[in-house]
Amino acid sequence: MKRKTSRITTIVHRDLTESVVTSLKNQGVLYYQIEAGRYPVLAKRGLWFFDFYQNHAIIDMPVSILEIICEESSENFLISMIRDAAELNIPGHGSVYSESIELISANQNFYIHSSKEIKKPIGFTGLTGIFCVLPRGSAEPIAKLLLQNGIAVPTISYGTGTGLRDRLGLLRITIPKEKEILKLIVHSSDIEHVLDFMIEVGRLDLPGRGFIFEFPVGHGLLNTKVSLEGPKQAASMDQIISALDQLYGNMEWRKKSNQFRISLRHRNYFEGVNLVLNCKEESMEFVTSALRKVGVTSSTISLKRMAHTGNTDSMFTPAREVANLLIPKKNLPEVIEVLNELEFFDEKFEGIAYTMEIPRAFSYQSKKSNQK
Amino acid sequence: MARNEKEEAIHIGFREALALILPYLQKKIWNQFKSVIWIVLYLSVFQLLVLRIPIKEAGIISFGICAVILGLTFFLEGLFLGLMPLGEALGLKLPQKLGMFSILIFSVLLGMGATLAEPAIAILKACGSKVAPWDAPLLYYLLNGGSDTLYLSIAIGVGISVVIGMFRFLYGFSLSKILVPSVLLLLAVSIYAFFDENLQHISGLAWDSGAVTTGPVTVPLVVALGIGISKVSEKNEQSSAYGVVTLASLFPILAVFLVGIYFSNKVPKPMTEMEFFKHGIHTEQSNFLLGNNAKQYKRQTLESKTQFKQNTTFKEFPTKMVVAFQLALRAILPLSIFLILFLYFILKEKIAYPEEVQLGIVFSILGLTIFNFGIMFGLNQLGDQVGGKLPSTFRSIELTDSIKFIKNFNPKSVYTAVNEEGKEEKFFYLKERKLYSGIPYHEENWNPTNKVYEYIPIHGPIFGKEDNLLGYVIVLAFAFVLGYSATLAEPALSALGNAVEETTVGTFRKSLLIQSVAIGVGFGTLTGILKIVLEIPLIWILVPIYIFLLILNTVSKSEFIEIAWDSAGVTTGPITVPLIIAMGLGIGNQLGTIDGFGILACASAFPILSVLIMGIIVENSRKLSLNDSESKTK
Repeated sequence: MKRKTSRITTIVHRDLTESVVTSLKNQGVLYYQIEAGRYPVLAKRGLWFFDFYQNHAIIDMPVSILEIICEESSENFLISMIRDAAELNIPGHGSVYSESIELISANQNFYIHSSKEIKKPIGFTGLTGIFCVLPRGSAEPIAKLLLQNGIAVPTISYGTGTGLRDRLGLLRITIPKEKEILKLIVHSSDIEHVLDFMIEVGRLDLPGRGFIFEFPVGHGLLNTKVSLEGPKQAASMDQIISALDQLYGNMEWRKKSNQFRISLRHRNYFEGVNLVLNCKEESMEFVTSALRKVGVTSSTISLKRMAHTGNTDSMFTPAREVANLLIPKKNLPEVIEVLNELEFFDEKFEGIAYTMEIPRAFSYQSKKSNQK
Repeated sequence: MARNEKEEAIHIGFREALALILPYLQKKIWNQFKSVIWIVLYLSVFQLLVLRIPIKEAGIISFGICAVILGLTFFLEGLFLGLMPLGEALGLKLPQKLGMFSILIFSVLLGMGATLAEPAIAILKACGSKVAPWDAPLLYYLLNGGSDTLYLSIAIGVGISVVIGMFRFLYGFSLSKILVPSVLLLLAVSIYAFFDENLQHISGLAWDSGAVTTGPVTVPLVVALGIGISKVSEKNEQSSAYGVVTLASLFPILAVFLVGIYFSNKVPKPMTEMEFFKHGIHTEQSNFLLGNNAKQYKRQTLESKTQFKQNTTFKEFPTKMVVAFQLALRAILPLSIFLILFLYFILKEKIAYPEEVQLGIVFSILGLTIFNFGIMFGLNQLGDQVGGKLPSTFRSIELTDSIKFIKNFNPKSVYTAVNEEGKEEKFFYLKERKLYSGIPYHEENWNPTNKVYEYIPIHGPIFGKEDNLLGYVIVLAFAFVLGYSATLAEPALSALGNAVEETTVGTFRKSLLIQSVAIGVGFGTLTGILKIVLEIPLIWILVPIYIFLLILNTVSKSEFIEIAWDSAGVTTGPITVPLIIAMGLGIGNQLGTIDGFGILACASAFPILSVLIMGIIVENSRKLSLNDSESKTK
């Protein structure tokens, strides 16, 4: 059984988590996923000539990444509620955006939030998200370049990767599984160039470096805090950008495409669906190994908490593992069959699964096999 | 398990395997090399350039240091592969499967088991032989006859604190609620002890044992367990997993004090050496204090014990290797067997990668063996050499490890010289290679029967006259850098740093934590030495510091409070403890202090301060990211 719903992702500065959670509770949202992450900002400029090369250092701010699954109709309501709770119009407070997902499940309906109130849509449209998996420590230089070029404020979280590693036996310990997940939202017209830029900077065209994909975003309000530097004028650049965004009602004016040099290299993008599996911690290993039989070899796993607002008793264990698997669309029924065989949606795993359309993805592909 | 290894495994040839293993090994060894090299360089440069004494047995020492690096590499890798996943898996499954009571029992057992396995505790006992029973009878008893009681009480202290820590995660109350009362209680007990003749001498031991308990076995395990439990606990909103380590270093202090109070009536009061041997104590007390050795115990035995010369040769390698292996086995194996049995038979759970955990346990044992071995031969030796000679900056010392025996010595060659005050002093000339040097003559070193004169070279004071200020300043500066650079190499801190970086998703960097802790330990060591030099009672240092820390707590964020207090327990491990104790003993012996304890207590109080201050600075920059534009819009 498939069902179209929305996923609202909120990324807020950790000090504001409390207020967002309280308002979620007040609005009767039952469950939300929470994960710790960070967003980098450029540090203040150094003293006098110490900053001769304008070599901005990066400072990391802790953020909480909250995800709520809701009915498509309640999407706008939630977004505006979160905006008010966290005062997201102030740069540095965070972002919120919605994505359209397809829930695959038999009996997890209570997990989806639906509210009776309906609000006008807010936030910008025409946005696209980028999801990029890199080895630990590689996100920082990319984030710095993204910030310096004013492309977007990325969010970085930790995860682990499976793939080639798991087929090596004990030798796998020689390959670090620790990954960094870098997410950012840009205007759709820039997407091609930003993807290209990130592939180039992150050297994703080399084997074992990671992968990148874009995902469609419905509505979104974005963090514009790029630097810690205090304002020299009456308003900081971040504020001006944020104000112009709101004035235009979109981010089109920030289009940067013409600034990037266009890569001549032809890239082999592929498409598919992103299958998101969510289950009890320490049990994803069994799921991914079972999926290997149907050719799903690589996944990115991150640890999250399934928090509940305490309005009812929780049906879930809080410690969760969430895996992002990129699979070709035609393989999906086969994969779902395996999940059902495993009793993934039952008590043993407490599993939740949904898919998102991925129009474009990129990773190193060896010439012989075109396995995705 | 559902996995079918053979079907999926990629065949890897020897050469490809090597291509995977070598860079991996290289990277890991290089990391440890970077952390250890500073302390080694520092000690050698200081000894060669400042103290100007050649390093004895440099070959064996460098061999030992290589062993330390290799051992650390394997040990830490083993921890991450084996013990930490095991601890975290247990932490995840325990609250899901078992009730409160079982968690309680498990935590006590785990805390006690991990503590008894901790290698650094044995060092406390090693210091025991240097305490005179008449100076501090209670201290002497606890370190010798009653050492088993002491260990057990420390272990129970850790066990109780693990229980409290786990309760904290399950019910989600803040660390300060336990921290404030227990610190105040400890300070009160210490102040009470200060006014008791006997207890006064054990407060150093008590605070130090608190610092020593939490080492490279306990810390990663307890932190991993905490991470696991806090993940599944509903009530723990911010899901921080720290704070157990600090409790585990506070409760043992209390335990030692309690044991001390219990025994204080059974031992005699401190007295002079004369009284002790005449009629100072009853037979009953003497039997209790000295055990069966009462009759054999003679004055001079102490003198011989203070000389802890270790003339190591290659012949001792196999025996030391066996000792090191036994230590490692005792530390890791019972604990991991206990954890695995518990996981499989009581929780009936499987681990995701069992072979990885097994390899991790093998790595930890192997690593700890090599590490212990390297510590015995490398760092300890170097530390003892420098520590023992350190007072030569302000005082002349005898270089007991480079005694020369002059054969066929002729007493006729002794001359008489006159010093500034007109007193006569005897000396003779010695030709060494092409140099003639005047050497003071002491009657007692001349053995007329075999015509050998025992010449003990005297070194220092290097800077100016006896007891000069500059010499003391240099010792203090030495103490700071020693504390700082030894901390960089501490394995438990490295493990904690990794855990912190992982749980805060890189917003709290490992390097930042290690740096601020190291600076704190540096200041702590400096203060500890100051305490010995100026003979300041320990409570004069600890009471103000801890009260200040409690005040600082109220303005800090809970995240930083937990990490700061935890890092305090972690700082003093197998690298720092022997080095600091060697230095403390070296200086203490020269100045004639009763016990060299208390430096570790200082060395673990100051990092709390430095991490809290660092936290406040970081917090300010985080506030800036939220507030600067906000204030403008108002």
